[in-house]
Amino acid sequence: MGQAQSHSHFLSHWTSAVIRRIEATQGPFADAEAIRHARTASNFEHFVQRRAEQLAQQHQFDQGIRHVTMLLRVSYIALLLFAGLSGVGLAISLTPQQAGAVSVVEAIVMLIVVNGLFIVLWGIANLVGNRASSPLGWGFHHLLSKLRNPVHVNAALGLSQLIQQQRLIRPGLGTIAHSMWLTLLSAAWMTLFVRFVVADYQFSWPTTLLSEQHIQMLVATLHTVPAWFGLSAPNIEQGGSFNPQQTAWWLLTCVLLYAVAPRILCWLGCKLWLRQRVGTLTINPTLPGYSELLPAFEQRQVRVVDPAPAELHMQASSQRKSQPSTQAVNSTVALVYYLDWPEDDYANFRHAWQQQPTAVHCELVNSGAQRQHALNILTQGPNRPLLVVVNARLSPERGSLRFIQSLTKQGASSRQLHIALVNARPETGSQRTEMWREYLTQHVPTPLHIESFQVVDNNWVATVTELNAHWS
Amino acid sequence: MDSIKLAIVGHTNVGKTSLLRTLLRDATFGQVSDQPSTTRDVSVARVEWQSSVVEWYDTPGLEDGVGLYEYLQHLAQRQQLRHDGPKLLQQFLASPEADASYAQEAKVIRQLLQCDAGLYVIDTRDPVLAKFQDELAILSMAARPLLPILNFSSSPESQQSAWQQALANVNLHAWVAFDSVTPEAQGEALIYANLATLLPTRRALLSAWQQEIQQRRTQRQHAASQIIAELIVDCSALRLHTTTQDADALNQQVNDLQQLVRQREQHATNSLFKLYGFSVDSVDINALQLSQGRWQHDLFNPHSLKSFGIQTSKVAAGGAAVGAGIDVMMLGTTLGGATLLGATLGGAWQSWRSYGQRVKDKLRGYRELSVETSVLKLLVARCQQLTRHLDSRAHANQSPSTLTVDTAELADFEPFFEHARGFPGWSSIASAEQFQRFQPSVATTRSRLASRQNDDPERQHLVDKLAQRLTLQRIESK
Ligand SMILES: Nc1nc2c(ncn2[C@@H]2O[C@H](COP(=O)(O)OP(=O)(O)O)[C@@H](O)[C@H]2O)c(=O)[nH]1
Ligand SMILES: [Mg+2]
Repeated sequence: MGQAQSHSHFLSHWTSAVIRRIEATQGPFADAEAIRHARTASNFEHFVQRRAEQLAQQHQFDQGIRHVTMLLRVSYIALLLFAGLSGVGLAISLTPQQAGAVSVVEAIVMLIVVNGLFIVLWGIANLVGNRASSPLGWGFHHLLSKLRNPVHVNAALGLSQLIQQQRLIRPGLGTIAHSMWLTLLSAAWMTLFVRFVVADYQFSWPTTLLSEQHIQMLVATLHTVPAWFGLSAPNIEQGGSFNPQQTAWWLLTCVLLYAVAPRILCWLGCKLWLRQRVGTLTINPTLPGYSELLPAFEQRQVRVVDPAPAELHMQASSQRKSQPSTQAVNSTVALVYYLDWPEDDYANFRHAWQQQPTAVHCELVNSGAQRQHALNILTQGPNRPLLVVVNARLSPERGSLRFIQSLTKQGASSRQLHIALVNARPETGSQRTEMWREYLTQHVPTPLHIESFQVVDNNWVATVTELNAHWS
Repeated sequence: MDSIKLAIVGHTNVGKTSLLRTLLRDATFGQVSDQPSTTRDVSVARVEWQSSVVEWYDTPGLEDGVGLYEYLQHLAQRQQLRHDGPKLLQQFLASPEADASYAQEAKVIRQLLQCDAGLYVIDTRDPVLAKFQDELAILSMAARPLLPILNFSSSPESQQSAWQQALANVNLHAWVAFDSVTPEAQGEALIYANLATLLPTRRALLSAWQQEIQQRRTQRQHAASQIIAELIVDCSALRLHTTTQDADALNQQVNDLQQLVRQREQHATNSLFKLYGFSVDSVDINALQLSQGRWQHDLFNPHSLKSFGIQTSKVAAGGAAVGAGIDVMMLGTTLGGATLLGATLGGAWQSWRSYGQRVKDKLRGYRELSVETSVLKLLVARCQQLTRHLDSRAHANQSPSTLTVDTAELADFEPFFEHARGFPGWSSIASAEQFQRFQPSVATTRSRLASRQNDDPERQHLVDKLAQRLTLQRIESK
């Protein structure tokens, strides 16, 4: 799995976790539209993820996730910078410019022994498996507690839950810790190297506590690996031939072999471990928040056989009597949706359409069930021409707007979607048509074809003829 | 403190805020417009009386009843809450959608759950559609008494009976037809009466409120009469002294007098507006269009008087001024009659003292400018009409209106004018600094007479009697 692919894989699990956490604690989202989008998913996991992505987009959680990702990246980079600076500082403190010689033993202890000890401790902690909170984990939670925007908080909490449930903490924190140490050691090594290149250093071996034998033993042990590369061991006997250049090379090699190399290995190990874990991330259908989606997923498979096409056939064939050859059998017949019309007005409209030369499929869209049905028909043939006849005597409101928006999302491309604002009682009524036009152009991002019409003196046929003329 | 909380709920743009404006008699409450979702927050108006409070909550409109009803069903299915409406609504309020797609609806429901009852406002011009029925179903889940208000009931398009049927279908049998822009007089009382039925435990409080509202109305009417009576006495008693013989200077002083009266009238109109809760400097005056139509005519414009059918006397200085009587040294005309009448009516020694002072002035060659009876009549007619209008006008009404003035029975007020004329000191008009600003020369001459007799008990007596007469006239002419 490539880097980018793994990243997007992780992101979609993160998104699902965010949505799941909210739904499990606060209750479900209104997901009719998201489920409609997720309907094409082949398995439950994809179904959950597509639905979650859709909901996340609707509620801006995708932005929250991006924000938290960015925050974590910035913190990570800051940590690495800090580690690098510490490395440089450590190296400088080991090689004082004026005061005499560099203590080789000190350098070995600070750069190799301490590092080795930490690696061993990390290994033990992993083997023993206790969940002692590491400072990094604590820092992560501290960082998240500073978030204020609820969208960001939800994104962060989702992440935290995901890495706990999928056991990503150890490989994750391991990767970060090792990369920090690696940065520190590399920076220290580079600094040492540069200093040895530009200045003339003397090296001293003796220490207060360690005898010459001890030191010789230490050097002999350390020299095992460099010896394979043909490096000669430094001569530490007092009075012996004293070669600072040789010592410097030896010291640099030892740091590289005993400090930097093991860290690289650990880091790579953790990274692979993490990648493997991310690769095997799963959606656990028994978790609360996911388990409730199973019925919807199964229903989705039933719903593929929607009753709409049958009705459509009927409709089309009944109208073919008057217009035998122009219309193809079903999903090309134009759709006319009547939004919020009383039954008798709708009957008048239908009647008027029957006197038109073109066959259309009319639907009254008042109730929630009717809205669902209308959207389902559209999924079957998203590229058919669609006319929405709005009852412009009513006040515009968010509910109707949402329905029109979901039509555009459902694949009614703006080229096919026409809106007719119809006032059926212009003689008596207040004019809200202009309000509708303004409202729609303000809130529907895709450019719409909006026309306004009036039913004058109850002449429905004239209005429908006019509608039809404008539309086609 | 005993309190009742009432929420105004309903679809967007059906006149919720308008209804509250009318019920509160506050034309500035909230924001009213033709646009949907004008009100976005819940706002509260507290009305206190003795130890009880009625809190009215204006809520934003329900805009997606269909979507919310589906979501609630979805919730109910998931949480096994088919038959516990309030609990289901609580679940909804805790759900993520209560801050997202249905945040506005959540505000309404949260408020309704905290209130004793809800007034569900319906635009009866709308057909009964699925979305409104879904709304009703949602609101019924709150298990709060709902009183449907059939708004726009006086519109020709009103489909009131269809709505009554739809309400009966969900067991809402008590409703009130109330047009918040052109309300009937008892409409408000009907609302309280129905609320009392819906909230039996609050019946005592609600019917007390109903009485209180009636009482407040009467009080306002009396207060209005007082304001007008003060205006009339001030204008009747107003007299400017002048010694000039020059016609131009005299004209100037007549203009001054007119200006003073105009200002005084403006002041009284403002007080009336304030009394009835229409703010002076906001849209309301414009809405009433005082500056248009007949009202626009200047008080001293001959056309103005004529259009009200008031006869003007021909006594005008140089033909320029109407309505300012010039009392030359002719004892027995204005001065004599007025003073003698005043003296007989009041019978107090002050009138004789004042009379003596004025006789002295006349003998020294002063002349007096005063406001003509025709103008005083017009003042009465205009103010009476405005009061009647303000009293019945809904605070939700945003359309302009023209006032027609009925001048019948104005003759009855003449004795009051005459009485006040006898006491120039009773007029509070020109004693203020505003007069100084006006014309210093007149101010100095007049200040001799402005001996601040405003708190004279006899004056008060006259004002009270005049106010009573004004109230009576308004009631009779209704
Ligand atoms: N004629 C008439 N107009 C009304 C009535 N109630 C409200 N309106 C108008 O309807 C529009 C919407 O009123 P508003 O109070 O803002 O509705 P809200 O959104 O429900 O608060 C405004 O233009 C009002 O003037 C009524 O009873 N009769
Ligand atoms: Mg409002």
